[in-house]
Amino acid sequence: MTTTAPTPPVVDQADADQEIISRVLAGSKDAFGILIQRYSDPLYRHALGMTGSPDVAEDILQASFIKAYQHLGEVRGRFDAWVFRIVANSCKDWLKNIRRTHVSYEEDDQPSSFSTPEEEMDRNELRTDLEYALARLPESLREAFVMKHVEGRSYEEMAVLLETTVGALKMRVHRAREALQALLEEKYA
Amino acid sequence: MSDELSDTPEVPKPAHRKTPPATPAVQAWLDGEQPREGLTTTDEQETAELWARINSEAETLRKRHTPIHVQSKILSSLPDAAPVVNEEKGFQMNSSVAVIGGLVILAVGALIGFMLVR
Repeated sequence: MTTTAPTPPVVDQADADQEIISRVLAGSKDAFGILIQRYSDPLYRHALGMTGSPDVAEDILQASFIKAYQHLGEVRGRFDAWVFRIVANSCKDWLKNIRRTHVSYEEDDQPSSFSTPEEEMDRNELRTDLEYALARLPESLREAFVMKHVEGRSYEEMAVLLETTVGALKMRVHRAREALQALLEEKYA
Repeated sequence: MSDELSDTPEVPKPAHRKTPPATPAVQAWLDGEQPREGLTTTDEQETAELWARINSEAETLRKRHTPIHVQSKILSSLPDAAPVVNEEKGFQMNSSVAVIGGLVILAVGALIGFMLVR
């Protein structure tokens, strides 16, 4: 089994993005729509995985693209990595605020009536349980887990986006899996 | 009747059995570094089964797309002003340094001149 999705040739994609950026900076606002179309899905999935809320994910996506547009002249290097960091930081800010003011994910704390997780794994229920467990993971572990398992990124791609090493990320994903499994067990107990 | 019911002994709920934690071999399988067939113990197989289900669910989340209206909403909410290109930033830095450098040279020159006159 592999969780790695095929990735586009990075160099070609980066060149194509740079060309679009030049057009936007030259005054073509519509050209920015191409970048939105190209990257909104992976960025939306990241925001959704991190926040667990479609509405919040939409808001973060919108605010991030507006910010990216306003600061487009400052892009150095790959646009996709740059805009990813804007979204990722917005998600982290949201999580900090939401924890400060408590909130959500607290429902459905009932102990399970099933004897094993396997019996419980009706699809919808599993999704709810996953969201429950994900919401309780520390921010950095959740980010690593979402990028690896939900977004299906390779460790190499994650390392570029998060500006860290493959080894550090592997460790983070392994810890995230252990923590997530423990949280699921806690719920089923 | 109700007494009879209350006297009926409750069927004990089966105890929850924890899925064994992921071993390095299971982690390697999850990382795509080794096939599932490499997981030999019953515990590893049990953990792998749990993770296969989790992954299957994660993969359905991966297929989610941005709602259709969102892209056009973002595009229409972009500010009218074009993004600022600040290429001159480096030049300004250099000119500032040049001005300060010039002032320093002038000050040193004036100091040397003053000392020579004395």
